[in-house]
Amino acid sequence: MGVSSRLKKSFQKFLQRPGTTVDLAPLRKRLPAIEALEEELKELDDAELTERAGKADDFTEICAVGREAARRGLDQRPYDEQVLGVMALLSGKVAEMATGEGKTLTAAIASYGHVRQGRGPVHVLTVNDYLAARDADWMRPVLTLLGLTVGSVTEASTPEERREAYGCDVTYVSVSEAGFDYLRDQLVVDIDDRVQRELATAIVDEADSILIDEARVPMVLAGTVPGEQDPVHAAAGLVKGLKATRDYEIAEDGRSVAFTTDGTARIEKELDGIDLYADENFDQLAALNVALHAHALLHRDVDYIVRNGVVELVDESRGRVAQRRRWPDGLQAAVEAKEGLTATSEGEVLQTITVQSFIALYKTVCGMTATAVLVGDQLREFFKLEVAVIPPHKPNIREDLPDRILATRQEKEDALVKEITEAHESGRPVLIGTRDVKESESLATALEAAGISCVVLNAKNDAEEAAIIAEAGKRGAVTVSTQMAGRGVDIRLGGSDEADHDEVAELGGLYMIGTGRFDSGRIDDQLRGRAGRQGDPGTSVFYGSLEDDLIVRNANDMIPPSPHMDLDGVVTDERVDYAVGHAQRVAEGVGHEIHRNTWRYNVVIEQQRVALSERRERLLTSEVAADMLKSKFPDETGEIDDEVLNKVSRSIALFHLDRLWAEHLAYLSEVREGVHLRALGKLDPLDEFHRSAVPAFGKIMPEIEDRTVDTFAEIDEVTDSWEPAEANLVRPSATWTYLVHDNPFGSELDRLIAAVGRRLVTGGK
Amino acid sequence: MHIGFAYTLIVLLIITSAILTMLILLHRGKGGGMSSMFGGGVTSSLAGSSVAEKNLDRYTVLVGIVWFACIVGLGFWLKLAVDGGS
Amino acid sequence: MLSAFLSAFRTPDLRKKLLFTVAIIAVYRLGATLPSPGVSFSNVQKCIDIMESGATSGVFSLLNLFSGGALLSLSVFALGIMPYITASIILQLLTVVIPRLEQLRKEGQSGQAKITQYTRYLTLGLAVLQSSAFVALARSGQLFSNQCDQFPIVPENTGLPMWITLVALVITMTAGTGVVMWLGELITDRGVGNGMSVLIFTSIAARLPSEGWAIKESRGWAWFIAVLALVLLVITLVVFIEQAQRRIPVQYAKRMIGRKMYGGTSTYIPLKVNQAGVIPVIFASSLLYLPQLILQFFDQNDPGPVQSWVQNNIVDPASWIHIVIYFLLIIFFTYFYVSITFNPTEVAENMKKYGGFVPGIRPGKPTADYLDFILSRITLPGSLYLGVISILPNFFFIWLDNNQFQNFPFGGTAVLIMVGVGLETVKQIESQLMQRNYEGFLR
Repeated sequence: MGVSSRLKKSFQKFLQRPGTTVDLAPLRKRLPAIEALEEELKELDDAELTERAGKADDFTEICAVGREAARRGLDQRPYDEQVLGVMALLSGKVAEMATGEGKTLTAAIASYGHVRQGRGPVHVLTVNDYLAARDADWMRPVLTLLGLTVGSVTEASTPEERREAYGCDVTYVSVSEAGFDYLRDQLVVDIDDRVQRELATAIVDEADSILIDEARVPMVLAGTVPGEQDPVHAAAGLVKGLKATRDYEIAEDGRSVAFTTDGTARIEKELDGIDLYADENFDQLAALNVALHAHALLHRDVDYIVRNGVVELVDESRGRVAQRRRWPDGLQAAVEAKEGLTATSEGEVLQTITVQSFIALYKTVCGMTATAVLVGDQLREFFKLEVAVIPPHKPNIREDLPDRILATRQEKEDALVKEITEAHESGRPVLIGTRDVKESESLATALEAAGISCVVLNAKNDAEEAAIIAEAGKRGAVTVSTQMAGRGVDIRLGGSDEADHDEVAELGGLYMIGTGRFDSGRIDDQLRGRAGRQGDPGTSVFYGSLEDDLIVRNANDMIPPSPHMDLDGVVTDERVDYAVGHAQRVAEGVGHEIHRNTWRYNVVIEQQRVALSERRERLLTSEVAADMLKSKFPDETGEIDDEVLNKVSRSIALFHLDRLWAEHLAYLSEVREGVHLRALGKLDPLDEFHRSAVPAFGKIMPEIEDRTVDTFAEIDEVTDSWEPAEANLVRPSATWTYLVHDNPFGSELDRLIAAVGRRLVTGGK
Repeated sequence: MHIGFAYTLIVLLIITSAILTMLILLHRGKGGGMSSMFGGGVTSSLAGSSVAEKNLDRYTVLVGIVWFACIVGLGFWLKLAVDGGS
Repeated sequence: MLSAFLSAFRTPDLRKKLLFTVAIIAVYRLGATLPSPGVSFSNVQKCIDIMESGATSGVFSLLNLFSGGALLSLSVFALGIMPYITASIILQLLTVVIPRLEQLRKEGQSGQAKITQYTRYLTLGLAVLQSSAFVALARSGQLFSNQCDQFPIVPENTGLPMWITLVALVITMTAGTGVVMWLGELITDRGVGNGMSVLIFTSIAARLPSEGWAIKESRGWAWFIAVLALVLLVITLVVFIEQAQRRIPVQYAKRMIGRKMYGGTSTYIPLKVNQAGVIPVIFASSLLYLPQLILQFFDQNDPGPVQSWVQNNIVDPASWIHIVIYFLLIIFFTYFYVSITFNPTEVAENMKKYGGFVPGIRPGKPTADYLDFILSRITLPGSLYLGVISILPNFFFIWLDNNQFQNFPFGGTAVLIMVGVGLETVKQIESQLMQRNYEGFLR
């Protein structure tokens, strides 16, 4: 590096501008010592090794013992880079390790290290259930050798199984399941019903996906609400007949839709001339709005799939089915009505917590992913985590070709088919990443028509992921997938057994083709990273068209009407390149905004939740409720057996507490909906939100007492078995936000400038 | 007082002014927004200050103090010069 | 208000922030009184005294108000916060005109950060320009309207070559502007309230003691107490009206939830009685400064009949014609500004987009009309109030029959700004307090 670039780098580091990471030098120094120790350990037999493992203390010992155990348990000796990763994780950082570097093993050794250093139990948080179970089984031999117990939790686990798994030293569990277990534990009536122990250490796999992408959506625990919601079906029928732009308008950013005056008039006529905006028709109006949203904005095979008669959501950033997610507030029912399925019952929010707050509950947090630096800033901002970039074991020789942009979708598809055919003829394996399920299927059809047989992997068959992806590197394989191919099972050249490894390497390795840029540069990079693992050769290229959603939505005005093109129809205009980059930056910015707003509005809710849960702990574990009742009703309570009184008073008080909290959450979400309007009065929306939230919360405590007293007074006979009509805990759901900015109007100055600007621009014409 | 004193002070002042300006520009300005009278009302809170920001702050304060001292010094010198001369 | 401050003091976190803010304010005042190198402090003082007995109005006094007296005394922080505000406004305007900037804005946080950096660079650029202009004005004597020629602000006889002094002056004032900008950012970041606002507040408030004392000196205790009482009355009135708002209830029908319990009061659009803030006053003042500016071009010492008439009736703040014109201008600008910044159609569109509507009124045009109607009705008292508050000092000129009090901080713009900032800061403190007081909720 030249002097000037070195100076620049150290300057940047000084300023901690984005892109700076943890210095690995001090960690590297330990490597020779670790190797020396390993020589010693080779002599010990298994039992002795386990004993030694129980005594390891500092980084060097832990790494050496861990390495030896891995060698024996899995027949794989971790590389130096993996050891560096272990140390980074033990220091509480996020390790950026390229695909195929062996993150799972690194995490396993790190969990051992955490337990040894007194930070157990360890939860390894994965992206989904499948990986949780797989990783636990895979790493069990190593961890058992190290003297630790291993467990895993999936959606299907029973409470007994969960308790057992959480009781182990290391538990592999998906983040959503862990979060929901936590929330469920917060709602137990009997303290023995709890499944989790303390939240000590979390190792987050795919840290950027979980901590950043998923953090936009708070985790919500919902229970069924008794009552019918059938205006939904009628509404779906009415909405089906409407036409876009005439009867309804979709907002520019594609996130919301509204009826036009024509549309409203048409609907009102259908309903025999009622006034939709009159007070008594409010429910009808809401149902129609929801049905319209489902009809216009949510598309089959893009936002959701229908599998086995059930509507399942597709996670936008991961391309997989989002487990345990529903659209709230009647939207799920509307989508089901649209697809002609029976509407599943609605839920009301019982408890909620954001990913951020959940992770913050752990005393120690660390994580790993292949793309961390790009979100280093956000990791620092929301989680106070620093990024440590671990260099790959073998240098990356993948060739990243410049983007190829065509003018129309059809041209793009044709060019793709041509390119794939060419590559396939030589036998080179091709992996195609598409934006959604629909695109993957249409491309597959086009390929079949061109005589190329391919395998499709998308949200519909995500269970077969392991089998399909593992073989994607085989000679002559053509795999069409969504972005879910970016993370997960390793793609080895020549198939999972690496039989034809050298041959495939000769051909140039895996060819990764993206059919369009994604909403975030990270997803692009994840896909690219699939080719060229562990020093293998590979190529990656992204195609795109000027009709792509990303560009149309975010950079439409920047595309010149007749861009420069070369003879093949590939656009070579600089302005277009810039526009594509810009479009992606805007999309990322939007994601960041949503994330920030979710977080900001959740700060006070989280504080209240913590305060309330402390109170709840007290109620749960002591006799506060009983004492209170005794003082209010000395006569009646004198007759009742103490234990029975305790149990009953506890159930009543807890029931009311949970109920009031649920009502409070509903109230807050209502306030949140309209709070941005207050910006028009020069008030700060967040401020106003706090102003509503805090006094409302203050009312809860005395209200609990009042209601408990009332209920008690109503009971004629107090027996052991009295139970309030409990709401059944059903599938938890997710909340969706359509409000990106909490101040969509902009500040007053913005409006002034905009108004002036408008006049200037139109006046000039 | 010697004129040389004034010269050194002024040169020092010019140098520290330049450095101070540069340091301030290096800060990651959170903008401070606009006061609500002029049409603000949008709060944007970036992350808390990292270690580098704290260092930057320290340097800025240091240079700032030197800068201040130069000005005060020059002020005194001027007073003496003008009153003494006129 | 006061209780908020007291409770804030008790919370260690907030107390630190308050003290930090006070410390920064102290530094700011220090710099505002420190004369720049090469400027003779004593001469400047003499000139200011001469100035105060002359008759001028308008922009200069406004500027001086904003800088807390620092401007005319050419202190290190003379330019104050104005370059930053100007730079922000310019950059906002440019965002509309230059597509590249608009794209940056759309890119979210990272784009905004870049724009902020441009603003800061521009601020310093402007500072260089403005400080050079001021130094030139000071040298030529124009700063004090040619009334102070016998006391040169930048003396020649120091022994240093003039060009070095001037260069040092400009560079120092520019650096000073940078420091002020940084101080503002520090307050926003680690102190209480919005940095810019707090500094402006300080500048204005700094004038109070000296002006008040001047009144007492010239008119005695009785007048002083009367003025004080009047001021308190005005402040109370402003506080009251600034908080007054008409709430327009809004209902959202985008989701199917049980909304039975909340009634309609949780969601509303707050329309302030004084929706325009202090801007119309500034516009009106600036406009009214024009005649005076024009007069400058004519020979000062031999005014013809037209000039005399203009001078005595329009420029003179004590003349009835001046007061009436000022009042009318303010009312006009209030309506004008409100109509520009609050676009009922746009608001109605946004509400429609997210499924909101005013109960009883259909979304779209009917809502826009309704909003328009309410807004115009409410702006009338708002504009009247602004006008009255602004012309108060002029009445003082008449009663006191003395043109001594140029930069009268007890009326109009000054009070509006001070109360505005005060309210904003207190609100912030209150909201931070609220977030910390959960112990009280657990019995």
